[in-house]
Amino acid sequence: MKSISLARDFTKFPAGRYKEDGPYSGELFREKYLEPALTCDETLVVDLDGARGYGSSFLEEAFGGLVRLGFPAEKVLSRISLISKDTSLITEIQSYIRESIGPSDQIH
Amino acid sequence: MAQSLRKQNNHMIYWLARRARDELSKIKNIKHKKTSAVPIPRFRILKAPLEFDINKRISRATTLAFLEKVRTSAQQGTRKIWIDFTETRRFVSGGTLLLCAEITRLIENVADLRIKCSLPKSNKAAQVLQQIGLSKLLKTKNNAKCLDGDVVNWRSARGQGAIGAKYDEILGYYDGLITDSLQTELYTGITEAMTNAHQHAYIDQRGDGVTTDPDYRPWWMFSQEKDGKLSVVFCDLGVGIPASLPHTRPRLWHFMDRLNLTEGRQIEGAVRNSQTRTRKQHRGKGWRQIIETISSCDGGKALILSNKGWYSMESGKQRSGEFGDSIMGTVIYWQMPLPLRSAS
Repeated sequence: MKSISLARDFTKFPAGRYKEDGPYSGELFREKYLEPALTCDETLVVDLDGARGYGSSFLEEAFGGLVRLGFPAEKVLSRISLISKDTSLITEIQSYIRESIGPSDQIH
Repeated sequence: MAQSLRKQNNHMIYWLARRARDELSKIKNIKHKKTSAVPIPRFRILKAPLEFDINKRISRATTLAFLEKVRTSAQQGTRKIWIDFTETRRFVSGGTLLLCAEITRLIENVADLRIKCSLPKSNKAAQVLQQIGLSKLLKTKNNAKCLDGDVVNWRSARGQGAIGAKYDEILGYYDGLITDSLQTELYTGITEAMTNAHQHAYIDQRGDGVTTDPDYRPWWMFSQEKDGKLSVVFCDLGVGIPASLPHTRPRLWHFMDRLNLTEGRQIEGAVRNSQTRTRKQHRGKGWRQIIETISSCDGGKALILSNKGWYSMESGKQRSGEFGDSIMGTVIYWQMPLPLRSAS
């Protein structure tokens, strides 16, 4: 099991959806920490406390984006464990994972 | 004896030369002072309005007419513009942010354009120009000392893309003064606005004849503390929400277009319909998160002005409407009460 603190290991100022939006986007966080853990079938504990705040575009792209890439929602929910004093934040992220659709269901 | 006389002469020449240099520098200083107050010939003089504001109908009309005059002059080939702020007495945050944004955009995108200004007669107005950096941008010497409480608390930031650290530049100061949860909400709303400006606001040229690079997608931001309230204003000079909807929300746009809704109702539609996720497109809560954050706190309010339309939310109540003129962009305004500070 691996643990990271988003504020300490990534940034205190997460913002933006795509890498072109800004220096600490949801896409970059997903690529740097979440995708490698899921690819190695590793459990990852993400501590969300300490950052300035989380916009929905950052969270949706970081976590919902995993399902769009082809990781099954059940696997994402079981392998990524979230810690936060703000429980509504965890609920919000879980809803992005559950409501996201995989590549085979996407309309092109 | 001859040597002593030569020495005396040299000494005299030295002092006369020094005196001449001093006098010359005095004349130069006088000339320099004059140029900061009186327009230099060959500059096109544009008289600024008494008040810069975009919330009240009459002052909004004069503010927008003035900004259009500046844009049109630059676009029609005038390369030397002199803004005469002499009679300007009041700078309201939204109108002032729009002024700064328009001037910056013109200076950065119109080749060889020079804009200078005369300072306002009103000391407070001159202080504001100094505090927000506009007199510096217009290369005009401003000796006004920013001492007034409602002026020193103006802070400004400018950037491109979602740069969370910029938030701390102007609002980190309020840590401990406003609650952590309110800071978090404000951070969320502002960074979502930055993301939105970067992704959707600049999808097309603005249509004012000034061509900008497709990668030019800036935003501007002010914070101001006044009468026990903290206001934050955010602005982009993109196409505006109503004009971006056909690209970003085509289905919603077709639906609203059939109903012939005003621009205010179109903004309201964009806010109401920004859901967490649809089955067809991945989206954040976007506008909803931008507007709902602060407006849900006690005494908090949020307002979006985009092109002709406006939409506000205060204590859970939503209102929308339309003006007769367009700001040609989007201004978002958040306001919240600050707790009383102890005298110490």
